[in-house]
Amino acid sequence: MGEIVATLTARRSFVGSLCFLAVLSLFLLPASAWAVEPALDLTVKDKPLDAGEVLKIAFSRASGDSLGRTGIVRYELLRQAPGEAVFKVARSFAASQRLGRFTYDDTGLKPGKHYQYKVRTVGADGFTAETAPCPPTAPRRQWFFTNKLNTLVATAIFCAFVLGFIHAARRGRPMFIRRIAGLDAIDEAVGRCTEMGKPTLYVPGISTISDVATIASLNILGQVAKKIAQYQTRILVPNRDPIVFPVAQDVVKEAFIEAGYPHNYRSDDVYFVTNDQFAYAAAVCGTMVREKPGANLFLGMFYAESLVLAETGASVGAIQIAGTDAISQLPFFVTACDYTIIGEELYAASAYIGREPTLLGTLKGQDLFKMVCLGVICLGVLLMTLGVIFRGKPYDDILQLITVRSGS
Amino acid sequence: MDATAGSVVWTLVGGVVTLAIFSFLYKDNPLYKLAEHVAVGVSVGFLMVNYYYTVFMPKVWDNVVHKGQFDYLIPHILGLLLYSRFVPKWGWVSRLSLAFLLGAGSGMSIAPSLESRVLKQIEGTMASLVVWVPGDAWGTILQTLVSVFLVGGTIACLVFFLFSVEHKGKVGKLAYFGRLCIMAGFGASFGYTVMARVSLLIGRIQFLTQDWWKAIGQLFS
Repeated sequence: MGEIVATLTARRSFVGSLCFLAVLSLFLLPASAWAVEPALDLTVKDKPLDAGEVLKIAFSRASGDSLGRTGIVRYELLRQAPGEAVFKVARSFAASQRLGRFTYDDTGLKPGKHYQYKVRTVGADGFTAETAPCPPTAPRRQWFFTNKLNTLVATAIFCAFVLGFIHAARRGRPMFIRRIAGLDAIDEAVGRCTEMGKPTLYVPGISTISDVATIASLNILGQVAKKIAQYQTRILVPNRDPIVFPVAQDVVKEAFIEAGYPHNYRSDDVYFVTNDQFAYAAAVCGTMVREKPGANLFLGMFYAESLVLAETGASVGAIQIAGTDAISQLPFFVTACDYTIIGEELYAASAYIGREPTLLGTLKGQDLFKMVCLGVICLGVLLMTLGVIFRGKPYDDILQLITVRSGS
Repeated sequence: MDATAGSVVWTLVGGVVTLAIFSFLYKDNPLYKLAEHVAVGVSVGFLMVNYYYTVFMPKVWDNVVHKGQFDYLIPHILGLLLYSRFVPKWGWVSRLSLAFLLGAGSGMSIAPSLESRVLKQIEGTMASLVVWVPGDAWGTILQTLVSVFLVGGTIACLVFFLFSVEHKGKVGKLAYFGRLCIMAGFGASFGYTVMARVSLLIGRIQFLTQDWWKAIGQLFS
């Protein structure tokens, strides 16, 4: 019995010793074993070439952190906005991300206002460490986006060509334009409507006023409406866009006045249908089968409704001329319409039909610009080919000029 | 009406309207006219309510009344001027808004159009005619032919769209080749889009044969 008591006493003293050592080791361990270190190298910079609403923030992992395997759970980016007394969490980064350096674009900031940032390291045990706040930094707005310099130069060259040719056209210089079958057919179509005593249906596309194709279409509408006014027939213009609608009304009215038949203009013939794509298509289809127009002109921007419109138009026996720069819709018009005005021809149409010096000059200017583009392509292809053949890169500088860089 | 009953009713209505629209394939009829007018009326009504809540309230009312940002009144006034068309004497005032819209629309679309439709295309076309595939002679020949076709086709297409030059002689042949390339592209695009449209048709037929049919069954059960 005494032997058993002695053994138990010895064991108790042994367990007690272990506990004592464990508590002692907690005090003796270095602080880094249970605390966390702050992140390193915090930098805050203004994003160059933007509207002054972004700051670029970057920082490195805390010393000893290895993809979050050393007790650090996450890094929190704290931001102090102007007028705020405390730092608030702007973004949190998991420490397990395979990144050597964390980067973040803080967007939606106010230009010229100063922001301060710091990074908080959060450990698994809830311990945190913070970097010192960075100096106050303000996002700056740049007035000129130099990455778009090539676009500016191209626009300037293009405008110079157009203005030069307009000037020449006004001075009476003859301007040759080759025959475009689809545009010649517009006269034929309007004439057919006159002979048959039927109206002409003109659909100016379903896009908005800011679309180049819509603007081109409204230009053509003016010329077509003028011819229709001269022939004293009707034109029906159903509209999908509420802003294009009054413009179309004005264009047609102006054309009737110019032609000398203002009394023949009927404002109800240029009307708004609906903004919904397929409801609009259904309504135009209904108009085609009920009004039975002699000619359907679909000129402008079209989407999925193109084939629906063109097929219905073909079924009522109207002569159909379509034109759009929507590449995905052109095949449908090619198959279902009598004539198709393809892409660039749409922009040339108003000049071709009207033969006005200003518009002809514009067209010639565009042509010259296309020739310049052809030259640039040929030069670029030559340099690229030589570059591959000789294993060098003599073309890099040229390509740099042309390349449209991404950016805000 | 509970949610299930409501969904059954709307499925039935959807099926009837789908059939009404499909009836146009036979010929114009009162059922199609009804569906057409309902579609137009509902869409315009929806548009007005939608614009009120997504445009007028957040962009005009909230900014002007709640935030005191009175510069938002400028576009609002421009928009209101469009209504002057209802008064013939003052109809010309609406042209101010239209002029602004057209001018801004044209001006704002020039640079992006030039960038996306011209410069980007030029950049994409500037490829080497010779493409070396290391250790693969046939690969080199094939890739080179593809590159030559790509560059040649693009140049030919551009020549097709030159309006100042008569399409005769060598220019005519090049333009003709460009036209062939365009038509080949259209053919591929046509096939691709028709496939997508057929999938839409399948979706509608599935709706009629499954959802709608099931709703009819629920109606009579």
